[in-house]
Amino acid sequence: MLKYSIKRLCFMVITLFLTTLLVFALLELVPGDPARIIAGESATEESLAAIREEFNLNDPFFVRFFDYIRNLLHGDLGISWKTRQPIAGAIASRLPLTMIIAFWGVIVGTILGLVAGTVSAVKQYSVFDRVLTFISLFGKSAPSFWIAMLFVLIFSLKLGWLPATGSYGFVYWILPVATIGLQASSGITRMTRSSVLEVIRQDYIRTARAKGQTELVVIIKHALRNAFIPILTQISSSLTEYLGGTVLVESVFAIPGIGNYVLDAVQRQDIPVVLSGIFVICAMCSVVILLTDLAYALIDPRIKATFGFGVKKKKKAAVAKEGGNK
Amino acid sequence: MAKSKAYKKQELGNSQLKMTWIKLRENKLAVASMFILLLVCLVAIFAPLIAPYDYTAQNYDEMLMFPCLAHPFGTDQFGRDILSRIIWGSRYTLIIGFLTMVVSCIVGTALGVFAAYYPKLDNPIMRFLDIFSSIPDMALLMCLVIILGTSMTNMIIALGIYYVPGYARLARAQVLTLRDEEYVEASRALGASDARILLNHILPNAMAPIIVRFTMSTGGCILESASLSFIGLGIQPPEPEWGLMISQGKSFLSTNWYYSIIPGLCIVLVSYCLNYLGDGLRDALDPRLNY
Repeated sequence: MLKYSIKRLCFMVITLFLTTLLVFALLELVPGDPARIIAGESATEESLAAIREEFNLNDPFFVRFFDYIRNLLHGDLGISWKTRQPIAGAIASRLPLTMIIAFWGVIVGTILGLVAGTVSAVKQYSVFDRVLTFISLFGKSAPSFWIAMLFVLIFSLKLGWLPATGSYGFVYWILPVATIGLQASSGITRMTRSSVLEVIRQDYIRTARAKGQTELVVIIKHALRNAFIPILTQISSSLTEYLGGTVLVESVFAIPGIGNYVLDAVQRQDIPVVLSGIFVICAMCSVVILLTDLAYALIDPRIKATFGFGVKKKKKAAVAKEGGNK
Repeated sequence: MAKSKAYKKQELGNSQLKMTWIKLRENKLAVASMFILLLVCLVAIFAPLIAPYDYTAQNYDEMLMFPCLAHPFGTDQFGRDILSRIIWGSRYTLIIGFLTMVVSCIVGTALGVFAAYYPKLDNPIMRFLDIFSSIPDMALLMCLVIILGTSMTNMIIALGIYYVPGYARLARAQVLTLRDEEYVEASRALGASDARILLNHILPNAMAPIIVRFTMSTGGCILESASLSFIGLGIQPPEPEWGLMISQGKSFLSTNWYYSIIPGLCIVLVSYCLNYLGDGLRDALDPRLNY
């Protein structure tokens, strides 16, 4: 397990490094002179030269890139071009909000999706199944910002139960979490349904029933557990999607999260903020993916066995192939 | 033994296209979705004839009017008829959705096919695309928009880049399984060139899941483009794009709910239909496909 974890961790660090390089290179292509973006249209040549010196804009690409990486390793995310404030502080104050909303949204979506997906798989082709499929397709077909506005219209403006915008405590987070929960649940419902349908006709389910196990235990312990790998993939991909994609929900509910911060920076062409914002989002997603990979190994011992000790090479390859075909 | 109608026709030598249509016809929801989509296409094509008002005409006597007989979907803060704007807006939605998919499908499939058919290219191409797809969607799109700027063409390019890795992975997986088939070996033994093998033998057999993905991703793409317009990084005012209309209606939500809810319903309708059609196509083209 340790060997597997270390291997995954190294892989994650390399991916994150290359992603940063890619984003850094892409942002090099932004049209316009950076010094002029910082100083404004009316700046003189001397002040432009001073700014180029201050922000190290004269250095070659790779010098600046490795400077940036060195600063990252020291916890320094750079300085905003527009506000001249350190980016790390601004992101640290905004990150918790985005994480709360994304995590709770996906937790709500997971609970809804697991229940709805299992019910519609067990009662395949029933009225339940059709209604749940219709609802889960709604989550996939409707834009999240529109669902958010629908919620605001119903629960804040018409019924007056919940506040519409802002972020001052628990009640303000209910609607954003519900929006993300509904959207996330649609993918999880569909994946749970097809995955449970696949295992539910297996022999071991029949065996479990034959030995007199209650239906609930059969479904939860035998069916759901064996169907869980693809569901876990779906949950993890929703989480990475919403960590980076809360910007839409944040902008409807006026939540000062990291998405809104990056969006502001994009509109003002504040390149360092965009770069560091995307880096933080990617880093969070990499951690989620790493934890998912480790969770696979906990759930499915075959994956762990691939990286285990004392297994002969040939056997290892065979297991790996089987795991790959799954 | 009673053979189904579909089988009899197959024996008579029907083309694959006809077979697919015969199977698709059994799925009522998919057929209904297809007709709704055709209707939306017709509306988009004949927008100048159908729209009851000029979509740019401002009328300050009729600002923010609730839906009524003269204006079935109401008017906006400049007195412009929302129905006419939705009819014109369907052009943006359909063109962006379709063109983006065409671009990313061609580029992605080509990359995937090369990666699978020439093992030397496999790692460089696929690892490069992996890095692209490790960036979450909105973060990547914002990054591309800041480089390209906001316009319809640039939005299509940005969205197209975002969808390329998915197609490449799918095409690669398909070609990897087809590469070692006997008919490919046979045509290679006959001395066929790589281009001929790829275009005539491998691609036609790899198309089914790509077509399904095309249909389903168009729905997703329409949502993404509306999202970009919503946060101000896509189509710019005063164009009548649906996502932009939702965004403009946001400030009038408390008094004029229809302003942003109705364009949203249009997006939901189109993307619902694309999803149902995709489901139907998947069952018709290859029932074993599962995703």
